[in-house]
Amino acid sequence: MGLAEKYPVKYTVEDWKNWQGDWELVEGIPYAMASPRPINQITLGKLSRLIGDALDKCPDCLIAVELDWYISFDTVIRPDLMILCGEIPERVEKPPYMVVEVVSPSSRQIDEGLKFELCEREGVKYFVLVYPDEKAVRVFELVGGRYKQKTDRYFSFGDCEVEINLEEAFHGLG
Amino acid sequence: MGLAEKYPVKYTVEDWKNWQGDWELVEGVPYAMASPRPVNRYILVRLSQMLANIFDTVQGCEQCAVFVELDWYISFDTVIRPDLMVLCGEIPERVEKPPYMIVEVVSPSSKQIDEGLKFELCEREGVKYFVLVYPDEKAVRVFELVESKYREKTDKNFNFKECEVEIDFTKAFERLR
Repeated sequence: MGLAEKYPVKYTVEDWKNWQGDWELVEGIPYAMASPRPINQITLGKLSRLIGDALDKCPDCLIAVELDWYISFDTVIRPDLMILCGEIPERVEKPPYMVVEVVSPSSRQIDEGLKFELCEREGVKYFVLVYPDEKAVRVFELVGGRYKQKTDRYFSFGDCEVEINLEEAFHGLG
Repeated sequence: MGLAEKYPVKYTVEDWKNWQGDWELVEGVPYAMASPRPVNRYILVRLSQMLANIFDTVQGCEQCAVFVELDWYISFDTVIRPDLMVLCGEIPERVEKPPYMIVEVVSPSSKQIDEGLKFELCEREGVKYFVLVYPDEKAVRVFELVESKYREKTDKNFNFKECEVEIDFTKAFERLR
């Protein structure tokens, strides 16, 4: 058994608040946020405009880019993009309606594994993985507490239904 | 099984170099360094003065020096910053070889790491003397490598290459109430 396994340290959100730089904390374990790649930032910008335009029909919902979601005393994450509906909270503590992660090679394992399961467990209705390199999108919807891959373009946020073609985010990319 | 256990991420010293703030990295796992307490800083300054005075005045010890809060690059995925290290010989561009002595001033938040992780790491890497200083209890525990294992040491005689000295660590507590 390695030393790090033998002597694990679990941190809390109170510890995390004192850290410099960009960290997420999941069940007390720190995860360093990779410095973003240009292609990820461009894709995120396009996604936020695209989704923002679609949400014009849903005045109660808004998008938040790179905002911290305080899940519990030892877990806080900063999704690339979230959709929140209802009153704007002082800080995000309730599960957002949608979480979007723009995947890079270094974040792949975390996005597809850790974030997927965390969002499923916490009850995020839509979980979206965007792959700028492959120009691919995978959308998951909670069905009976589990994520099921979704192929249509219709999303409903509360009583507001919209059509979003997420693949438009790749238009004009290389 | 928790999610963090299921999806562990191992970082390297190359990742670590990009991090802001104060972190140690052991076998790819980040450890946040606690913001120091005044009593710990005070003891650390006293200890470094005391040791520097000894090395300055005892013959044969010219080669040894005290380094406070310097990074020791142990491997591609492990780097730690001991409170105090004693290095002998030429001053390296960066510390990669095990120091002769490591001193950790223990605080309640660092106790588990100092007594467990750091102890075993220094034992494994071959640090000759490992010293734990407890400002709250005004206590010191000194360990010496004997056949690759730490054995608690009760005398005050230390031997750094040609440098043989007597160190009374408890002197650092003299002015503490």
